[in-house]
Amino acid sequence: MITRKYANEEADVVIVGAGAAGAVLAKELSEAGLRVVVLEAGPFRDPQSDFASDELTMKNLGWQDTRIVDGNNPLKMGHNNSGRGVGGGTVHFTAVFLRFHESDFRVKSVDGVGENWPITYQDLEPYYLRNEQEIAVSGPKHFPWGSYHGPYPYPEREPLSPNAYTFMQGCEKLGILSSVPPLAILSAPFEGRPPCINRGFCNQGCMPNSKFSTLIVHIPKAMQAGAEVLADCMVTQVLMKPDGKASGVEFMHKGKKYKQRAKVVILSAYAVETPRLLLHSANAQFPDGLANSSGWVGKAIMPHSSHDVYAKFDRDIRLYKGTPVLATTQDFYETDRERGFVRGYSLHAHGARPVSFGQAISQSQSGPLWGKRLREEMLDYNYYARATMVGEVLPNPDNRVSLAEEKDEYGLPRAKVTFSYGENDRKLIDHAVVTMSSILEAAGGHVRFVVPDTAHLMGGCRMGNDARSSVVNSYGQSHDIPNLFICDASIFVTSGGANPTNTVMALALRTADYIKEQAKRREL
Amino acid sequence: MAKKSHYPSFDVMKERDEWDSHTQDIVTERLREDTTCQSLQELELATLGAVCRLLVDDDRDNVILYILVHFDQIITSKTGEGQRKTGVPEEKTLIREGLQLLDNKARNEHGTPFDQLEGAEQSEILERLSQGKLQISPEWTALKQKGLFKKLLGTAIDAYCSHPDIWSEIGYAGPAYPRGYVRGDIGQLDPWEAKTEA
Repeated sequence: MITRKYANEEADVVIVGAGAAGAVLAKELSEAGLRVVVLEAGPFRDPQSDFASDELTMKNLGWQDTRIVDGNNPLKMGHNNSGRGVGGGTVHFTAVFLRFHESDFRVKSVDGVGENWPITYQDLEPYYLRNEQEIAVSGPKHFPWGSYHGPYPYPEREPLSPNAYTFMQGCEKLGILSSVPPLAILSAPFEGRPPCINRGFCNQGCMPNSKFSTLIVHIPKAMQAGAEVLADCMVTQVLMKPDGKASGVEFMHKGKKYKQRAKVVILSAYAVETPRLLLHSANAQFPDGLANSSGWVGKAIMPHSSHDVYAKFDRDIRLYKGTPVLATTQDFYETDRERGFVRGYSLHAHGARPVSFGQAISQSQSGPLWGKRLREEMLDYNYYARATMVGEVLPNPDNRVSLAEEKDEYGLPRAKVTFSYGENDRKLIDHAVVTMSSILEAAGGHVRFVVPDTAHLMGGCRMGNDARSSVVNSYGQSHDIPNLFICDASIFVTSGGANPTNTVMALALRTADYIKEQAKRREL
Repeated sequence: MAKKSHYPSFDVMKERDEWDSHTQDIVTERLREDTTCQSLQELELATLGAVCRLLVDDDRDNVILYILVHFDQIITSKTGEGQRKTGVPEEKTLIREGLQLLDNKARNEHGTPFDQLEGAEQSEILERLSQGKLQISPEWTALKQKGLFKKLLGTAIDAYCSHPDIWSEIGYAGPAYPRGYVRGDIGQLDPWEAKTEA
C-alpha cells in the first residue's frame, strides 16, 4: 500500500511521466499553487547509492520493457532512446543543450518537406532562455550557429577531452567551424552542486550531481512546492467521463490497481508510451484511441539518424576520458541544395566506454565483427576516436507506434515501433558519414568502422492548428479532449538536427504557462 | 592491429579503493570464481562456453565463467530486452533453442557435440549462422538465425567488456568517482591511468 495525498480526491493535475517534460510541468504547476500528482513507472533513485561507474549495471536507466520493432530499419530502444525512473531520459542524456534553429519550425515553407510547426522559434525563445538560466548551462562566449550566440550563464567547459581536441583539429584543417557545445553540466558551483570532475559517465547517471537532470533539479523543487511524486507506478489507462472529458488515470503499483482523479491529465511519457497509452485507452466513445479523431496518434515518429564513425590513430585518444560530448559543429545544419538533399545535421565528438565500443564495432555496416578480429580491435581501444551525427529525419506517417498482439506483464498490448528511413534521410546520412570521416582523417586517423545507429525519438502525437491532421494544439492540448494534454517529444512536428531536450523542456514551460493562465481564469 | 596488450602490467583493480562502494561491489563480484549458474543446464553451458570462447577469442576460464553467469542472469531475469524484431522469439527462448540448434547441427554434421568439435569446425558453423545460412528446419529463418547470432554476440560482448581483466588489458582506467580526471589534453595522463608499454 502506498501513502497518497489525494487518494480519494480530485487533484488539479496528474502528470504521467517524470522525465524532461513532466518534471518541468510538475515544478511550474505546483509552484503556481496547483495540486499536482506525478506518476512515474520507474524507480526514484539516489545518485549516490543507486548509480555506479559501470555501463552494464546502468543500462537500467533506460526503458527496458520489450517493444516489438519492425520496418526496414528497426530501432534500437531501451537505453538508446528512452529513460525509466524519476528524471526519465535526463538521467542518462549527454546533456548537450542546443536550441533548434528558426528553419526547423518552418520546413514546409523553407524546403517543401514535412510540415510547419504551429509555432515559430520566437515563440520558444523566452523559454529556451529560462531553461538555460534555471540550470546554469555552460557554453562558449560565442556560439556560431542558429539565432542564439550566447552568452550562456556559465563559462564553457575546460579542459576538454583528447577526443574533442582531435575532432576540433580535424575541423580546423578542413576550414569547418567547431565549438564547445552548450551543456547542462556545471562549469562552476551552482545551487549547492559542484562543477564537473570529468568522470565521463554522463550516460550512466552523474554521481557528483554536476550534470543537470530533472531527478535532482526540478523534482525536488516540485516536491518542495507540494507536488506528490509517486514512483514505481505504471499508468495503464486514461479514464474518461461520459461527457467526453478525462477524469484521471488508472495505475499499477506492486501488483495492485489504483486510480487518481484529476481535473487535468497530462501525458509526458515520451514518443512510444504516450501514443501507446492513448491507443489502448480506447473506449466506445473513442474507438480508435483517445485524442485520435485525426488518426495521427502514433504516426510520424522520428529518431535522429546517429551513425558513428570510428577512426584509429597511431597515438592515444582514450575515449573514456571526460564528458562524452565536448566538441560540435553545426556547419552542415541548414539546407544546401547542392548536396542533393534537404535539411541537415549536427556533428559531435563523442566518447565511448568499452561496452558501447565493443557493441558498436561488432555491428558496423561492413558486417559482424567477432573472434580474433574483434579481440585485436578491442586491444587497440585507446587508439580510437569517434564522431557521431544528429541527423534530421523527415516525418513519414508510415513510421509509427501501434499496438502489438503480444501483451506485457500488466496485460497491456506491447508497443510496436515501425521505422524505415526515406531517401532524403539516407542521402543526409551518407553526406554526414563522409564529413565525419574527413574530419577524423584530417586529424590523422584512419576510418575503420561506420556504425549505423539512431538516437532520440520525436513525433507520434504531432501538434498543429488543424484538428484533422494533428493531435494537439501548440500548447499540447488535445483537439478532441480539452482537459487532456500531451507534453513531451511526441508533439514535435519535425525532428530538427539537434539534441531535443532543451526544446522538450521549452515546450513544457510554455504548456505550464498556458495551464496556469487557465487556472487563473478558473477554466480548469 | 594489436596482438597483445599495450599495457601488460596495468591492473585496474589496484585502484579499487578509490571507487565508490557501490561500484566496488559490482565490479568485484565479477571476479568471483565460485559463482554457479541457476538456469542453464550442463550441456547448454558446455555449448555456450565453446561459443563464447570463439566469439571473443578468449580462453581464460575466469572471463568465460563471468560471461556464462551473465547469460544465466538474462535467462532468469524478468527485465525486458528493450526491443525485439517481429518474427524473433523472446530472448530466453531464442538463446536456449539456439544452443540446442548449434549442438544438434554439430551432431548431425560431425557426429559430436558442439563443444567437442575442433575450433575451426565450430567457427565455420558460427560463420554460417551469422549469415543466416545454416541449413536447418524452415522455422529457423535467415532473420531468426541472424537474430540468434546477434543476441549471442551482443550478450557476450556486454559481459566481456565489463570484466575488469579486459579493462586492464585494453588500458581502460575504469570507474572514476569520486576522483574524476584532471588531465584532458591530448597525450596527457593522470598518474593512475595505464601507461603504454608496447
